[in-house]
Amino acid sequence: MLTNPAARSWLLRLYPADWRARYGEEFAALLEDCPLSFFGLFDVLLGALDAHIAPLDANGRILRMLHQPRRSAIVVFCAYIAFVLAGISYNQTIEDDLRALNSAHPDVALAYHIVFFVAPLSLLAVLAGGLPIALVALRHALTGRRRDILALFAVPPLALALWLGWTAVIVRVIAPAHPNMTIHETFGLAVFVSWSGLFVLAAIASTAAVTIAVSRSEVSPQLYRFALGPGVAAVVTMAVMLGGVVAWGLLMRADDPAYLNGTSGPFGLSVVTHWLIVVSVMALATLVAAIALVRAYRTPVDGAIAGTATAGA
Amino acid sequence: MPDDQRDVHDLSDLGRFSDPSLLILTSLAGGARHGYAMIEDIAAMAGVRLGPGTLYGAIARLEQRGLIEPLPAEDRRRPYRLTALGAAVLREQLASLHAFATTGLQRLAAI
Repeated sequence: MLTNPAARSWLLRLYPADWRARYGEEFAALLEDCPLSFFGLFDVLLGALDAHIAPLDANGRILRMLHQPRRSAIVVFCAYIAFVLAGISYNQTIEDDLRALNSAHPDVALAYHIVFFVAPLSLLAVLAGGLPIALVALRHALTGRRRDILALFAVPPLALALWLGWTAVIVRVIAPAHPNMTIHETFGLAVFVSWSGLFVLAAIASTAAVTIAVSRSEVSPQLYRFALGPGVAAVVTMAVMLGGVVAWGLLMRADDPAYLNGTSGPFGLSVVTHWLIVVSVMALATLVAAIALVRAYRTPVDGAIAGTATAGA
Repeated sequence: MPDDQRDVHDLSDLGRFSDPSLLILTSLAGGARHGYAMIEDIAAMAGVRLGPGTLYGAIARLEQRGLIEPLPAEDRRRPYRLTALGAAVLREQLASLHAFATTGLQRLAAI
């Protein structure tokens, strides 16, 4: 049960204003009644995101097809961030051995370089589609003096500053005080987990904040439709990088299976386990983004409000 | 079935809200209930505890499709009830599930 009224009010404020106008009172009553576990809280956050992505119209009906391009653009962006996080994890797993591996196995080096050189193209595609939307949303927030949207746009730089600050503390204060610190003992592991965990949390918070900010802004459907082109380019480059990472693992398995079976990272996982996790996340992200794009392209340009034709039948 | 009819009768296009929607319709088949009463009823009936966000995501969609309708709020808690269309859709869905379960049981019996 969520007994703190301020916490309930904060949760409710995550939902769009028109949604709150229709369901806010009864939803607040439900939050008072309902025991709210960690998963329950996560469920409310997902519900708020859903309410932004599939908002209500003036009659309280969900605008679904009309906003499919927007939903697709947001899904592609979120999938891309998940893909990038998996890519960073992949790079961290092998970076210490990269030079030796690349010189010993030219075919493995080629697979790695495919990922390395396609990654900037993927970023460019996401920026080409996402930046105009973000700029329009920012302009809308500035001209409309929407403090809520401006606060959301402030999350990414603040999250980055927080992570960089913690990195500086580790490098300048903690590491000199513990010169023998390694990730193989408890304290070093805790520092590493806090550092990498803060990075992941910062990325998730930034992605969620930008997503909600854009959802609350008046961005024309044409701009979302324009973003679908770069979205296709992003998904294609994600698929190519996924292919590169898959090829890297398969070639390593053929060339140097002992390396794949060796452990890497702070948790004693084998390289092949790391690789499988990375491939799974990348494949899921690519698939989700591709499905979102297909749905957007299958939606008529002048899409009607889904389901309303017979809502009263 | 025409496209517009399929939108209302086919809960599967509600994505992650399709199963919760079926549970809500089944719960309301037992009478009008507000959100928390639905969660408790569904937990007792199906062993599934819906989160508040999922519950209201599904309620909004079911209301939009005219499958459920709100009643006047009682002390901030608003009950919902099944509409005639909602009852027809639920009957259709449950009959389909019943046919599926019967086929499965018959095949198992033959093993």
